[in-house]
Amino acid sequence: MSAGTMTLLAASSGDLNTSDQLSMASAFQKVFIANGTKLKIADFINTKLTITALTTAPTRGSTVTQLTSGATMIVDYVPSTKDAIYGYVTSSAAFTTTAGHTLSGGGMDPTTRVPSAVTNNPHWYNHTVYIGDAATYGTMPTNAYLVCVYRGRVTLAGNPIYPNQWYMSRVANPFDYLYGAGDPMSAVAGNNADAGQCPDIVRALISFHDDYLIFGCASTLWILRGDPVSGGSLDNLSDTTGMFGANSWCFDDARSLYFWGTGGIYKINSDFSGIQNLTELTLPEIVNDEGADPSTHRITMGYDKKRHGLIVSITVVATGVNSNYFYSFKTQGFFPETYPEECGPYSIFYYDANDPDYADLLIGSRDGYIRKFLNTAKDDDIGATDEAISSYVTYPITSLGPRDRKGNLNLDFEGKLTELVLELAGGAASGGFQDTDQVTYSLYKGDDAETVLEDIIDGATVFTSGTLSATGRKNKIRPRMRGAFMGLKLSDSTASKTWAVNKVMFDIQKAGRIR
Amino acid sequence: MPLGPGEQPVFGKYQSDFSAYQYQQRNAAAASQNSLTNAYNKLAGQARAANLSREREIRNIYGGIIGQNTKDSPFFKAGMADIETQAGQLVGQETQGLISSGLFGTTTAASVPTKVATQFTRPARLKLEDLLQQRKTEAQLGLAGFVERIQEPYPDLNPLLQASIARGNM
Repeated sequence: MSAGTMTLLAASSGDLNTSDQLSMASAFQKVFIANGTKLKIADFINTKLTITALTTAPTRGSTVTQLTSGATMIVDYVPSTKDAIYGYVTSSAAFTTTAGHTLSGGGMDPTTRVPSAVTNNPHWYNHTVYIGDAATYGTMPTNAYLVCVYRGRVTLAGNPIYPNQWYMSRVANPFDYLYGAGDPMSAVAGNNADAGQCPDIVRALISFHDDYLIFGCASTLWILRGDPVSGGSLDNLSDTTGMFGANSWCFDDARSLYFWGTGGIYKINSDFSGIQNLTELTLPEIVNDEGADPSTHRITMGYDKKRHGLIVSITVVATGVNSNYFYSFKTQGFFPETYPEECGPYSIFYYDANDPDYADLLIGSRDGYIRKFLNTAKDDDIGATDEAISSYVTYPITSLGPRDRKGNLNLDFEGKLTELVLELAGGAASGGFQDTDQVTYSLYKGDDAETVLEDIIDGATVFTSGTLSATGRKNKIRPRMRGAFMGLKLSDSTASKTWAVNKVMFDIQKAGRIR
Repeated sequence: MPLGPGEQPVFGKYQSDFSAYQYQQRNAAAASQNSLTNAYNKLAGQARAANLSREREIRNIYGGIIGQNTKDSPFFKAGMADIETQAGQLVGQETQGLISSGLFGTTTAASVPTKVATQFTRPARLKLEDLLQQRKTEAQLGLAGFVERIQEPYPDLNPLLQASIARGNM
């Protein structure tokens, strides 16, 4: 297998507003796009017959046959202008534009039309009800920012006029929005609330196969199990936790759902046994610190199968300024990251190619590029040029005080850091493992742990620092740093330089009583 | 003329007397025959009147049965009222079910009356109408059979025949 080539769907160019919210979902070999008033379909299955406008269009699902050529198609969609028929060709014979090769079938009238053009897929057209016939096929919302597919129903929401409303098409017919037709397949619209209560604003539609659909609302979560017209149920998942936006969620391979909610990053197990706030203890102020606003920020999340964790990206839509977290399933820890503004993630998607070489987590970036993480890259790609990666690790603040025989720390005494040894990753120079290029160590001290941490964050004057290069165990550093607590920061911001540390070793000697 | 029963032959000068006698005898016989006919007619008229009365009564009974099985009948109206009551209960049950399932805020709730009308009211009404029509048809068939069986109550001709024979013997 070789790498594929991306192709522009020409008709779509300029027909979307990418500076506005946009979501899309795939079904029936089509892509449904919700971009405000721009409700579009990219059709990858049908053949288009361009004709002079019909008086009566063929019914959907009927067969249209062409005289002489013998070509047949199952009608899927006819626009309100009735000057085109989109259908799935079922014959080996192809439709032609030859004079006299008239079309008939499906109750179409007149039966004297000959296609002026036969166009193979893909196609790009407006998402409307069939032949624009509101009496027979209902009415779609004119404005929607959210779309998903659930149980064969194309589901729309995020209508600014009715933000609490969701709209589902007829089962297996994305062109029928005649709500309440009465049969189990009929289109349905609704909201999420107890009887008589004011419904919450829908911010995200999360369908999991045909099993359930989660409505992520501004301050609540709801789950629809089964079909809303045929025996389904809609239940509240949380009255206190809402969801940030359309893309601020992802599933892992255990079917657990992760999302950015009103109090941080949450996890819902696949059995819905509870909602767990993953950042409650480790990053309790993450929501306030990030200050993400749905009107200015986009939060996207993706499960990285290759690296066994999640990427959570908070991006300012207008500028690309971003703040991100990698949540490692191995360590259960959050690793903050910042990418160049050009790389500000607008969308994250795991492309699961059959060939593992082409499968990876893809980042749709602000500058229009689709990127992926390269373990071998030593710089960030910002388009024409590269940008140095700035990285740092702060080791846990460590007491320098002596310990008694029981191992208890004596906080009345200071200690002296006499030796510090770092083992840099990469094994032997060159070889199969990636080598550390260089890393800078910075030592801080203080009478209490919080002061030391604050000094590190604020970039206060270090006690001592230095740069180590190459791999393996480095020479002893003799800082002779006296204090109650020490802080060690390892960092590097040099172009084309990366690093990793396997081990940090140090020796402490008892010093005098803290004054 | 042959002699009638009990008559004696008359001869000679008494011929004219005999003729007078014979005339007298014949008048008496004719009077007797008229009396019988009148009696017969009277009885026949009474019987016919009784039959007609019975016919009217039976027709009324059939008419009543047929009338009971029309859409204007109290029976139909009561049946429809019962169906509407049950339909109302079903709408309530369906609505309660939607509330329990959390789907009260969907267009499914709005379509509950239609669903009940389709799945209950219409079949129930059709069943009621079918029942009424069946009963009406049975009554109409019964009436038709009754009408078919009606015969004019002819008089018993034997007495009249005997009277005529008797007059002929005079």
